[in-house]
This record gives sequence, structure tokens and C-alpha cells, in this order.
Amino acid sequence: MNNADRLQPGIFFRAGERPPPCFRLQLFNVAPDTRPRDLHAALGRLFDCLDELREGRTADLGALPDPEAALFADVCATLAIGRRLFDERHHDPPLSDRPRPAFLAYLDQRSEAFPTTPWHDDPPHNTGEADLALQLIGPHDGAVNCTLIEIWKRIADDALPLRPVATFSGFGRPDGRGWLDFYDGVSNLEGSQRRTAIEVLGDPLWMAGGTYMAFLRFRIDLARWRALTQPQQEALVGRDKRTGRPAGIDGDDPSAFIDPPETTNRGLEMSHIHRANQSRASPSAPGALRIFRQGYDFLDTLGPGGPELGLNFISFQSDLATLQHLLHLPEWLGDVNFGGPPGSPSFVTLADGGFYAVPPRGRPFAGADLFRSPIERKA
Amino acid sequence: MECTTELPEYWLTLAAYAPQQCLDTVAEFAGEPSVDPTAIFGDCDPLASSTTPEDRATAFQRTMLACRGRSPYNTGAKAICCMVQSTNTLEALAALTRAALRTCTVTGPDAEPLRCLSAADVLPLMRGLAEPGRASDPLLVERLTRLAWDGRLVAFDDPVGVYIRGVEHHRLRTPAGHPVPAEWFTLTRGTPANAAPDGRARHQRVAFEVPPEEGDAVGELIDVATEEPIVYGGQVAELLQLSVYLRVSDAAAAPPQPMATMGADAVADGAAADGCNELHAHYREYAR
Repeated sequence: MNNADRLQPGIFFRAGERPPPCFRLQLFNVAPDTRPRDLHAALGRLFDCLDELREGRTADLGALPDPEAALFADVCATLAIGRRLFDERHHDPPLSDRPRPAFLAYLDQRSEAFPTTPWHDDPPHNTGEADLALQLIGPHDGAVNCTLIEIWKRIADDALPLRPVATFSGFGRPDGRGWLDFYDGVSNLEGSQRRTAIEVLGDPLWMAGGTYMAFLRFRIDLARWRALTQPQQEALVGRDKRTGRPAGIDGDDPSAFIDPPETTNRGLEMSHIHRANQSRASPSAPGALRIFRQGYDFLDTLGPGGPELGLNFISFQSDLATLQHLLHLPEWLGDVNFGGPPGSPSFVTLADGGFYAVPPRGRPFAGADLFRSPIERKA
Repeated sequence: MECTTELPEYWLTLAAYAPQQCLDTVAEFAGEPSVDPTAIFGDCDPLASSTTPEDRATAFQRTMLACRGRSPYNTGAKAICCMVQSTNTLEALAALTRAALRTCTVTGPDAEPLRCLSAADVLPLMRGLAEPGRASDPLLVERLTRLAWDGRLVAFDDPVGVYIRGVEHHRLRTPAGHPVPAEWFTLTRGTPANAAPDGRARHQRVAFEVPPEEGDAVGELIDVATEEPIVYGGQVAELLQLSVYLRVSDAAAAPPQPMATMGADAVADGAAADGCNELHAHYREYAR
């Protein structure tokens, strides 16, 4: 493996990195009848806009004075390609002559996309699928939101064939806890293993050096969760709620705390943390089903019906098959909604979601070759 | 559609020592009242009093396990009985296991042990006993290496085998868009979970069939994870999760210790703690 990775910015997998707390995922569809070369030009303009923002120039103010110019400097943008872009029902002729990755598929809406995670709406109204996704992550909401609006201005001003269709926002908590009040992501992949878990080796070839993103916007029924006693909650999660200590672990070994050794205690085996990581093997063993998670909580509203909140589950993996196996296999997460033995309480539903290919870095933008003809690529 | 994880060694033993049961089982798999013994044993008469177990094993091997020109009763044309690829044998599993159970350590500049090796580290050292491209080998190797690193004694759970642990049936959809129920997969040749002392099913064969009343064919089903219709058996095989069950001692039990000092708790897949005598016996056998 080459030491210099080609993964796009916005995937915080390197040792010592922590994802900034503000997240937006903007989805775009490409206007009907757009030719590949026009889409190539449009995305080029969009990334020009991001470059200009990083240099402190906006559409309506031009060059910003120094302290303001720094606003956009730390916003990371990641471009991802959705299943829809390869769908000839929407784009005929196709926008790219490159093959669709085998597991870059729509989430099924005729039934549950995953066996034990029902759609939140019945019938489902999934707005998480699109031709393109642009993930924006930054240190504060102002930077991320202003970046998005500058992009909108560029689309409007240049009449780019990109149609915004949905936006999803989220935030990271400095205390590391999630809505369930447990620490979240404690047993995420160890730093040295992340790149192997993330990076595509090359099938299809245009994805070599890139990765795949799963975006699953899970709604959490917090009232139902809170109706469980703390011991019940801890049994489902597999950790102590206050300290995060894994159930069944008494010592002070930090590695056991993060990633507790496997157990034959049937109750513990059925907990969420043991279901989601059954082998403790590295991602170099594909059957270990390891993925790298970079999720963000969200709060939509607090209304008369209570809070509408949940988790933007974002994962990056070298193969979407890994996540499909993990979410479909019995005794993994395929026979329970969250944790515990089959039939345990359900409190998670899927509101929106989609799978995306995240091509490797490229010039003038990641994935640019997708929209070039074979002759242009050769040139 | 049928898949098997049965090991050829079992069938060789069955053929050698229980030829009639072997013939009956093949007939059952083929859905025939009986099978012509020559289709299973070639020109060897398996039931003749002069035929030895070795004769039968040799004949069965030649007829049913050959890489090429195999009997249709083990190609899937009429039936499928057991795996035949050279890497899918008990011998290959044992060799892989033995090789992977060396204590392999990544050391620091002062030779201090830092961590055990990962699959990527170990596989190049395996001299072909494990293949990086296979779904199973890297995982087996890495887990076994980790067990050795922990100083655990390891033995195959009895009866040793490759077992079907789970089926991702929900990935399949009928033409009407309904998920395929688990009941369309019939698991046999083993012990169901409710009959196993440790509550873990041990099946080695799965038959997948669309019930006739549904009116659909397997080829009309769609894998929603890829949006592709089911055209090849391999697409269904990909939905199966397979396991090998091991018995494992407590950590820091190796090098082999007197029985009284070995941990009694088993800590790996399927390892119900039933004392150490059996484990120790396995280990002695294994270390020979």
C-alpha cells in the first residue's frame, strides 16, 4: 500500500485527528439532460468556489478582510457519488461511462432496508438518496452554513445544473456521549487500522484509493429508551452508563476498556458492543466486518410530541458489502434493533439514508474522471 | 439450490466404513430412491465382502472427490455431498490452524513486545497455508494468532466442522418486493440451536427453495444490496456466514501447564466450559 493516501478531506481517520463538531450533508441532483462535460464543468465551478472561500473570497463581498477571511479556512468538503447518478431512469444517456460499484445500491423502500430497522415513515419518504452528496464539516456552524450558502450562490449565479434536494445537519458533543447518554464511538477502530478499513483497493478501478460512505439517519425514540431501567439500558449497550466500563471487565487495562475481549456469556454476547465487533480482528481480515464510524447527532425539533432527534450514522468502509453483512447477519445487528437478544426493545428507526461512493482526490476535483470521455481521460 | 460445508474427510470415512449409509445419504440428497453404487464408488463393489475400507475410500475419493470428472452426485448436477477443493478440507484447516497458532509478536526498538500480528502481517509468513484473497483465511489466521499471543490453549470443538451460522435472507426480495423469509432456507446435517448444549446451531447444509405456491423462481429474486437478480449459486453462498468452533483456555495458559493450573473457562466461539480434561487431551493430540 502506498504510504500517501488519496482519500478526500473530511474523513478524520489519521492518528490524533478528531472530527470537527459541525456537520452538514448537502444532497444534489443533476438537472435532466445535463451532458457529462457540463456536469464536469459545474463541479469544477463548485470546487473553485470552495477554493475561493478558503482564500477568503465570497460571491457578494469579494476578498474579506483578514480576521473574517479565516472563517472558511477549516471547512472540509467531501464529494460523494450516489446510486442515482448511475440510474438510467434519471439520466439517459448516462452521466458516466464508468461502472457502478456492485454494492452502490438504493436502500430498499418497499420493505425495511435492514431487517430490524423499520423506516420511520410508513410509507417511507427517504430523502437521503441523490446523485451527489457534499459533506461539509467545520469547527462551527457559521462556517459550515455560510459555505453552503456560498455554494448555492455559485450555483444560482452560474446557472449550474445542480439541484439542491435535501440538507441534513448534525453536531458532535465535546463530552463524547450520545443521546442514549452512553459514551459513543468508544470501540471505534484503532487508529492504525482505519486506513485499511476505509480505502478501496480498486474494484471498480475508478474507486481505487477512495472509499464508500454510508449515510443512515437514525431516529431515536428517546421516551421509549428512557422507559428502560438503567440496568436494562446497560445490558443492551454492554457498558456502564456513567463510566463506559464494559460489562464483565474489572481491571484497568485501557485496551480492554475500549475493546473488551470476547465473551461466552450469552447475555454479554448479545449486547450492542459485542454484536458490532465479534472477532476483534483487524480490517485486513475482511470477514471481521470492520468499519470506521464518524457519526453526528441531530436534533430537529422539540415539539408537543417530544424531541425529534437521532444520529446521522456516517461510516466509511472499503466495501459497502461489509456494512450490509453487519446489518443483515443474525447475531450481528441483523436480528435486533439495537442490542440484546432478539425481541429486545426497539427504539431506532431509519428516517433517511443512502450509500455513496467517495472517489479519491483528483484534479480539478475528486471523481472528475467519471465525467470525461475515454478520449479526454487518455489526453 | 443447495450449499454444503461438509468436509471430505467425513465422507471418506463414511464411505469406507458405512458404505450402505453412504449410498443412502447420497440418494437422499439426490432425491432418488437409490443410487447406482458405480456412480459413487466407480468399479469398486462397496458391499462385497472382499472389499476393504481402504478400497472403498480409494474408490470414493477417485469417483466423488476428484478435481475433474467427478461423479454428478457431487458436482451439483444430481446432488452435492461435500466440499472438494483442496483448501476446503479438515487437513487444510488443521494445517492453517497449527501454523497460525505460533505466537507472533511485533516488537519495538528494544525488542519489547508491542502487539500481536494482524492478518496482513501473518499471511505472508504462512507459506500458502492461508490465502489473503479468501473470506475465511485472514479472519481465522488473525484470530488464532491473537489466541496464541494471549497464551491460550486451543482445540477444535468436537465435532470439528465448518458450520453455517447465519443467513442474510432479508437481503433477498421477491418480485413483489417482499423480503424472503428465513423459512425458505432449510438447514440440515447438524444440530439445531435448541438441541445444542451451548445454544449454537451447527448445520452443514442448506437448501434454498422458493415454495411452489409462491410461483416464483430463484432467478427472479433480487439481492437488494446489489440490486442484482440471483443468477449464480455463489450469490446465495455469499449470504451465508460460516464458523469453525474452537475450545480455548484462559489467557496465559501456554506453554502447556499441568491440568490443575489451566483455566476452566472457555472464552471463544461455542466453547462451553465443561472442564479441561477434554481440552488438554485435544491439545496433547494436537501438539504431537
